[in-house]
Amino acid sequence: MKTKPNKSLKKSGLGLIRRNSTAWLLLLPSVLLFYFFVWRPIGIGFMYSFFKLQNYVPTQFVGFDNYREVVTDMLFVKTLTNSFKYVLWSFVIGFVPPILFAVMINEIVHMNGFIKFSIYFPQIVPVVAAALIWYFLYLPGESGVLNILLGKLGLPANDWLQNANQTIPLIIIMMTWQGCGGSMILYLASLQGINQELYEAAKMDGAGVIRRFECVTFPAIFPIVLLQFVRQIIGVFQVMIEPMTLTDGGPNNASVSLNLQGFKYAFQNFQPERALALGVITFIILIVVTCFYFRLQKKLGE
Amino acid sequence: MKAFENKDTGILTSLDFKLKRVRIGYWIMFGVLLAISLSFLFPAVWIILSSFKDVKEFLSTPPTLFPHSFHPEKVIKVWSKMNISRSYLNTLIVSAGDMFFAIVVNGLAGYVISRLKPKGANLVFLLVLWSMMLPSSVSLVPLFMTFMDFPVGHFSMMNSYWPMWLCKGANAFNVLLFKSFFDSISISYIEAARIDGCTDLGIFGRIILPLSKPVVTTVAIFSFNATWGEFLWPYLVLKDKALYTVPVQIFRMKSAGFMMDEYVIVLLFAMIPLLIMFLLFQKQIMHGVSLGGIKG
Amino acid sequence: MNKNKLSVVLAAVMFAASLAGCGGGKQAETADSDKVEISIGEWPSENRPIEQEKYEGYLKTMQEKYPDIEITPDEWAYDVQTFLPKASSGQLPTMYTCYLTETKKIINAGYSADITGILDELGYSEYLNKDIMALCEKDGKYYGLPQDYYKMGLACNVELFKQAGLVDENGVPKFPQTWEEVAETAQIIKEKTGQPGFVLPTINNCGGWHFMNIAWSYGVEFMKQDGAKWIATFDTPECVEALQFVKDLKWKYNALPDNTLIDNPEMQKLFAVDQGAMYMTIGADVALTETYGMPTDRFSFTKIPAGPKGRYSLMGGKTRMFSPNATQEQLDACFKWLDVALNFKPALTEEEQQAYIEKTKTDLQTNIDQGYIVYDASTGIWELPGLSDEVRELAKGMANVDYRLVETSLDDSDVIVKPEEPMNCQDLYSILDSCIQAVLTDENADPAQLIKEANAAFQKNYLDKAE
Repeated sequence: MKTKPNKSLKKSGLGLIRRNSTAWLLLLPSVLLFYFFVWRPIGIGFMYSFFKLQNYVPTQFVGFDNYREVVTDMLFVKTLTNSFKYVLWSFVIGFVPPILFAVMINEIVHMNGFIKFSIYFPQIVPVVAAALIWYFLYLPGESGVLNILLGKLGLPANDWLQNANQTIPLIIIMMTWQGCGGSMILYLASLQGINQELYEAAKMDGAGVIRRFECVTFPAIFPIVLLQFVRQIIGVFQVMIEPMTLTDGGPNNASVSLNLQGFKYAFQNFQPERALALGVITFIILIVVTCFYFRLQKKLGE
Repeated sequence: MKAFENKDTGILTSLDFKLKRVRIGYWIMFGVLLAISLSFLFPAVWIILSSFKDVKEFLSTPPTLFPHSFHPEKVIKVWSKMNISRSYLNTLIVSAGDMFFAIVVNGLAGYVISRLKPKGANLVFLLVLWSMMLPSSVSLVPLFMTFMDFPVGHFSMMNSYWPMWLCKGANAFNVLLFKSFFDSISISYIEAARIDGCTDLGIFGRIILPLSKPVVTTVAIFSFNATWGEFLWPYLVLKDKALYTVPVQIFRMKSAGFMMDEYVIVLLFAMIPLLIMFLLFQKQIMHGVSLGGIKG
Repeated sequence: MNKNKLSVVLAAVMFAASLAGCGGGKQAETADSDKVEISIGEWPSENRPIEQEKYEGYLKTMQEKYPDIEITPDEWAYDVQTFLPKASSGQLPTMYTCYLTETKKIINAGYSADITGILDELGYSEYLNKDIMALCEKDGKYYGLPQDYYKMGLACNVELFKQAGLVDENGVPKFPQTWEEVAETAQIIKEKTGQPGFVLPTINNCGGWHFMNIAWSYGVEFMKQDGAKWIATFDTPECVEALQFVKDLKWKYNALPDNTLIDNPEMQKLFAVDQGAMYMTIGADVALTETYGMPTDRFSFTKIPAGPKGRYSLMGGKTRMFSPNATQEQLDACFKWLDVALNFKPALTEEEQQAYIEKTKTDLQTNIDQGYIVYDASTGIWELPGLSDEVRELAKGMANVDYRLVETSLDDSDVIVKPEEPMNCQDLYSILDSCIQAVLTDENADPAQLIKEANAAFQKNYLDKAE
């Protein structure tokens, strides 16, 4: 944080206190809201995960009982691996396209606006609506929209979400459709910030198109790539509304994620304390990822 | 091609286009991008076109991809049957409150942290930044408990819009956005105003806010978009049908059982306000998204 | 527009709206303290306009008779996902409705008011069917009031049966009598018409719920009590066989819809629009004609098919329950609503019985006018045998469908009606949902393995933890 030199003008003691207090007064609403709706919930989440709750009120300290119940629930291993599967598939399917789109859009001079518009557009569609649109697209049998398309191409109909092996990748496709516009714009902004002279210099050295990408483009967007990498892990690992609307976790729990299971514990099965324990487990996993990112960032920064 | 001659940014520049294989490569790339854009648009286009189909066509075998029948009057029927005007109004009310909290509360926080820097503000900023990185999974139930029984005064916020509004006042990303914007405002304006006897709040209102139109617009647009898509808390908090926002209405319809033709129209209604917003503010939106690359 | 102006307008709108919202958000408080305010749940929503109108009529009658009672309609209808949030934050309607299966769970959690006193006071207690009331009882007190109960049967789409040539000379479908016959009939229909012969829901616990009828008829016992402990007992060859039957419907007979992940409304829709020939249900669902526009003459209904161990039909229904925060006055007001609006009370005197019959007659007539399928009244919970018979005759006389299409469902002497399983019923359904989804989406799924796992999971995750 830089200190502005002008500030020293007003460094008389009383004035400082008065200014501090008005400043704090202006900051107070924010601090209060952060306290009640961000910081405190995390704190009590950790605390109450060691309690039994009755009617959402903690009644009795039970140590690690909630954790034991969550971990020994026969669905736990499945939800955990599913959540990792979501992340894995999101990298297979969703990580490279926004980078590619951005690099390509940055090169083209025709219909630039239209292409940006259409790739970004899904981002503004409400998640629930998007999921339901894809529900219709993914409908199995001959009335499903994608199956009609396949039929027109002379291909056999697919079972889409009903095939337990496809469910997670298909949900990821829907999420990529919706989310990749945002990352694309991020990459595009960083691409447009590249100093053109670097390309010129590379050209002088006789670098071809691919070399130029390797030496100039990619290093320039790499910080954003790293940032998006972590964001994607954190975001996708906590997926919930998409499977909730598309499959409700089915078929045969093939698409239940940790957070969806937490939601079910909290609001359907009358077991909110289990949701807390599961939430803490998810939290810890993701904190490890985040710390790893900061370490990596520091290392690369040196 | 003129377009190529003026191209002086990116990997390929006008010089490269002199080569035939670069031009061919360019057109292939363009074709690929066009195909991708069309396929991205397809789901929405399908929804829009299908809204005019009659129910028979939805049920016919073999099914049609694009409508053969055209019934615009159905759209109006569904509008009144589903009481969309009510959901629109509700969502507007929620978004107005959301914007208020997002701009005023987060804006003030950004201002104080960036400009006034009282003792301890750094710590607050650090905590705010951290909360941006923290996963939300653990706070689902605690937040619900907070809305049900607020720790101070023990009142319930259920079945009102307050939970959504108040949470917007605690948006780390917006605080960061405001802070970095205010960091870039020249200090001399503020000093001048202070010499003229303006209070801190006065400076915020008279100098900072008018200067911050770009960031305020960005936050307002994103807040609007977020509200129209927000599902989880409205779904858990709102009980009265009269209070439902559009996303809740959509999700509820699914479990109530409706004919597909009507459903498609409601999905269309859910997209229209956002589509209008997008067309009006496309530039600001794209710019706003690119601000998301700021690192904590 | 000038950008400055825009931001001013924006700010003004925001402020106004936030103020308006403050008012809207708060609980309505009327100054008039003599009024008793109650809210009535499961008020018909706008997708059922006819029903809605009817309720508005009730509301008017009620206001004329008891101007001191203020009634707030509440469209919230029981569903697993929203019940707990509402109940725990004290937002339940004063009177709400839940499934008979959920009654015990809700009573144990303390989310319903004790109505024993008021039932005694009104003199209703002795006329209630004790078997059903047992579901609403805890420690000798009543916490709910079943509104009616039903047994499940098999609905058949006349049009599809006709197209497949499966009707007799009167146009009455040749109803399958066993599950085996159901599968074969469904297969023929699929082959002849291209439409699915049978529809089985698989999500939102509906799959397990429907599966009960099949499993019981194969001789499955799901649980038993051993001292204070409950043991899951469905890891048996019978249950595997029942699940195998479900699997065969899909892979051997190819008789199910392509979309497997369907819920109750979707199932009704498929049947109503001639895209499904048979499904298990309680009778002519209102949604068939009202929401999905099915012609009444395409509906036919027969008793539940038999398995190796006989015909088993699930007894289900809905229970009216009352918010635990309700005051005595509010409870009184709710019972007045039941009495005046819904005519829900034991008709004892000659006069009352006459009124009851009259009311039933008008109700049936409105139902007919509205295009509902009417052929028989549901089974009430009052033990007034003479009256029940009379009402039954009345309904038979007024039926608006070809009686031959529904007749077989009424003769149920060989049907064993079973209440739903006593412990964690919805959780059991949810586990069975997964098994059914597995066998319907994966041709290589092994029913024996699935049942084994389901049995273990149910024991471990639920029964072991039950008090």
